[in-house]
Amino acid sequence: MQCRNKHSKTQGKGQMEIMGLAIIIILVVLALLFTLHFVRQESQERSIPDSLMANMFVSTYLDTTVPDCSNVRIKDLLKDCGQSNSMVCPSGKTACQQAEGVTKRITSSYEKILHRHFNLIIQGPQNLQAMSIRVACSGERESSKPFIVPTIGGTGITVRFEICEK
Amino acid sequence: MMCTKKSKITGIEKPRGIVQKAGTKNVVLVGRMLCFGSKKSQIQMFESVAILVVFFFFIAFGTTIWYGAQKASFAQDLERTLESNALAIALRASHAPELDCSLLGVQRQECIDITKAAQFANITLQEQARLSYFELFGFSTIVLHQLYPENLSVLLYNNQLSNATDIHATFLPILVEDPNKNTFSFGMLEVHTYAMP
Repeated sequence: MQCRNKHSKTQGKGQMEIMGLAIIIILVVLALLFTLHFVRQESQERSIPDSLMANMFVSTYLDTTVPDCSNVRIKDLLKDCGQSNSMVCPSGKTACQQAEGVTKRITSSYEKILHRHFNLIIQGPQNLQAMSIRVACSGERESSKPFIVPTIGGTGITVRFEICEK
Repeated sequence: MMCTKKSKITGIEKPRGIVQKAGTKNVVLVGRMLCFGSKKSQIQMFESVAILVVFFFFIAFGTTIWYGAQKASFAQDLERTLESNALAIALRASHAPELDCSLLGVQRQECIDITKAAQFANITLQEQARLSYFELFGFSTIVLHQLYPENLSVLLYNNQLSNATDIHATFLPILVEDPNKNTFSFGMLEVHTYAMP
């Protein structure tokens, strides 16, 4: 009788100690999860300067005038390129050729100063899509809103700018 | 040892003092001291001390992790503040009446007049003018770059903080108008802000 009581008391104490250890481990795991949750929340915040930069790039790009083409805006060159491609600049180039050349110059100068990768995505007719500048982003990217250039026939041209993470 | 004494007559070790039953063990009362046969109490004390040590170790560990996380968070907040500050200065510069593009009193957004910019650059070379614009632009360097069709750079404002350790750069695309030719060039506003932690 005494031996059985002694054994059950020891067993009870051992169980209590294991429960205590389990509670400590649970508390530590909860603390770690709590910390991880806050760290992840911060990293998911959007970068306001990057999104503003992306929007300002597209609006500036579209309103830039081309001196080699009677100071016509790039927006109008893209529109003509997407519709009939009938415009011929004094330099002898068509609207598509002129727009492509100007786009490459602007994006290469911009990249030299910015030192970051970006994508300039032009969606619309096939000949316009070839003008897009696409680079694989290694991490996250911040995109501008889509800027729509209306064309005859209803099929608009969409221009979007994506800037890759630093 | 203290609880037993050797009998002079029989030579057998007998418990000292008064023997009383306490539960399943015989407890020998020697004076005022309770004397057990085992070191169980010492073991239990060690267990309690070990638990306290482990508990304080966990507290120290948790505090170290929390401190590290807070430090990283503060650094991120500082970086974000500098970024917002640089952006605010860039937006103020792009919307300043001294630099903006306007026609018949109507201001055009995200545009800088190159003729105004050239004059503004001359004005801010003077110390008095820099002091008066300090409220708007603080410790910063603002440069207007024209990227297309021609490359051109104009230093609009320069007020560097000596021994600054935190420097943040912001680049904002902006139209550069030439009202004489009625053209809009692709430009960029480069703003460097300075701070000391």
